[in-house]
Amino acid sequence: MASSSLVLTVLMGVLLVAVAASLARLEDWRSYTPLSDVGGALGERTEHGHEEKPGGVVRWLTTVDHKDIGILYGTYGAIAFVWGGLAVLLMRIELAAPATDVIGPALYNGLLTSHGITMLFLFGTPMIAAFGNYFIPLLIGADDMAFPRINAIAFWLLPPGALLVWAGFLIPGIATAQTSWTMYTPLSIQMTSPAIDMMLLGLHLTGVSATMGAVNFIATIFTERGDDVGWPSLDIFSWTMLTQSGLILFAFPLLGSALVMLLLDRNFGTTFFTVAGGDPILWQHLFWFFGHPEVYILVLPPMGIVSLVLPKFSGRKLFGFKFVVYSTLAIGVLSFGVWAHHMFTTGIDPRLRASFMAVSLAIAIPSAVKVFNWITTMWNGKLRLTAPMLFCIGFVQNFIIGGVTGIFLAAIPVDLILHDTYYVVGHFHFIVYGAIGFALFAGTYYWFPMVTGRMYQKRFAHAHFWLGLVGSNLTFLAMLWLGYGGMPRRYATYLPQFVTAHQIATVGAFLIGISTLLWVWNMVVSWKEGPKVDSGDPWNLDETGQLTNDWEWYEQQRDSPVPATDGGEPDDAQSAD
Amino acid sequence: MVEQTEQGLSDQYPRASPWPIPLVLGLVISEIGILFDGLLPVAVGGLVLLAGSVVGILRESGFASTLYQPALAVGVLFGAAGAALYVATSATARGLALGGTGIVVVAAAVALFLLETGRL
Repeated sequence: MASSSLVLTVLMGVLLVAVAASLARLEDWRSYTPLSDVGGALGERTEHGHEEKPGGVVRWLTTVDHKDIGILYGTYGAIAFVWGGLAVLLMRIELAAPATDVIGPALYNGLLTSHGITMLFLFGTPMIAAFGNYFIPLLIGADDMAFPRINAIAFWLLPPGALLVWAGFLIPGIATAQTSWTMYTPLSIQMTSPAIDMMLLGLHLTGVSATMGAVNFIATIFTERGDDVGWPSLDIFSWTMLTQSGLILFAFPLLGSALVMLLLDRNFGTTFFTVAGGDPILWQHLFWFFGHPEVYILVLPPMGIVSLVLPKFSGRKLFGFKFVVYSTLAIGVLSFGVWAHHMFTTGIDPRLRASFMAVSLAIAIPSAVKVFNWITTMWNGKLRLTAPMLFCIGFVQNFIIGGVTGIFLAAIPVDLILHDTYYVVGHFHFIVYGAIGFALFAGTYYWFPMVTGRMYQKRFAHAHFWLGLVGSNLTFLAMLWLGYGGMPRRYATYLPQFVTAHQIATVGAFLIGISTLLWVWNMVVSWKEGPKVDSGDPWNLDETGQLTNDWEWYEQQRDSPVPATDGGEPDDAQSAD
Repeated sequence: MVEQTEQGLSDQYPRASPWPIPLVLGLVISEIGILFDGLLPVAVGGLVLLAGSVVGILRESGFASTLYQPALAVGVLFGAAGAALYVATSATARGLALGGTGIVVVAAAVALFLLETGRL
């Protein structure tokens, strides 16, 4: 014990010295100048009047530039997406046959937990932050986020958070966390693996990160807008990010507190959620008070991306812009009044259940307002079926199925039968992959030319869309079918009667996997060698009067004499669509 | 300073800061050290790193004009939290780690005070 403490002490000493040494290399600690003058860490003043970033890896480790941080978020989100995707593919292989043939139930449960938490906290939220970071300042005419350093801190909290969440898989000899993403008590208190403690710490860190990001977005949108961007002319994506940040501000600190309470129950003998002395249902209340707004935290900005991108390729402005904003705000408010619909079967007071059912059904109204507005925007429009547009249309299709199945689940009598079946899994996957995932893909294709100066490969992008659309509908419709049959969720095995639907779902999941590989390939290869775009308006938005601030910024960037960073290859431009 | 009208004010901000990663490392390492039994050296190391980074980033961003003032504030905060933990709960070792770090940081604040006011 004493010797291990000594080793740890020496290790910490070495770490501190190493950090101090690297800081001393980067900075002269005592040479700071006030903000009124430029006190750049490594920057040098140029004739362009702004700081040059340090080169190489140091640039990425020290950057506080919103665009760099956006790219970091995006890269991180993509890596997490791959992890979560591989986890689910392993699970789907196991589910191709009724018995446990490939992986055992323990590994299945570990993968299930990791898949859920990874996709929601390590992919979904950060990927949205990637778009927010890169494009919100450009869209609102700000030059950077309001708090650039907090922005960097918020991002850098995520990699250690992910390592902690995945610790059960990364550290040999300890059991993986097998609590599912909901971490229901008393199971999550009674399971002894330290991987659960590390997962809770990791989640806590990602929660802190999301909260810091939200504070930053709110401050940025309120205070950093350009002179020409008043509230009436604020774009729809910024509106959704603002609402989402408000939701984060109320939801994530509560998750953080609940996680700390759970950690205390597990490690320090408190009894918040224990059966003896506490109340396991309290966890469900606290968790879902965060958890349901989290759904809207994840879906509102992607809805904003669709509302922004879809009109661009419909040749018309967004139909009923004001009402799309109002519906966003309405969803934001209502989202805090629906949490107990996750708990209809726990035996809570029937009068409470009825009120939560009413609010849950009511949320269909603003959601439907959005759907009708998107459809009406396309109605009689001059549609251009580019990859971003295809993904927007796919979003609408998947969102309709995901939304309507949600209305069924909001009804108490239906939920009592379908609760904890694959119907629920099918419902929310239509939303989280079919809608949110598609909108994020739409965003990556739409802004690809702006971020990289190059065009993606159209053929791959369209193949990505069609495989993804067929795959998602195969998988998630099969899940709805399984749910109607009574197949319970979260099991590694099942009765032989479910084999056909499970096999369809597995085939669909692999189609999604292949489509995602095409996306990754397209992003990486096109970033390196795609044809350069030949104008600052690659989507010809000016034609329909829809050139937004971000593209105007891009046009200015192309025109301004900034030094080339890629060696200036000759242009082999192609038109966007 | 040359103004870039289309870019706005924060173009004049430094585009790089070395502090976010040490700060995050400090937070993560101290959380792990405090939560798990038998990792007190890790807790102390993490807390020292966290304190140093908080002081560094406050000074760098101009929220503090000296190093010793934020160091003193962080040290007192850590010390008070450690003392409360030590006295009011049975987590004495963790209280000691937090309080001890507080004392180290306060001592550093005194040294920084002497350094920054030219007394050293």
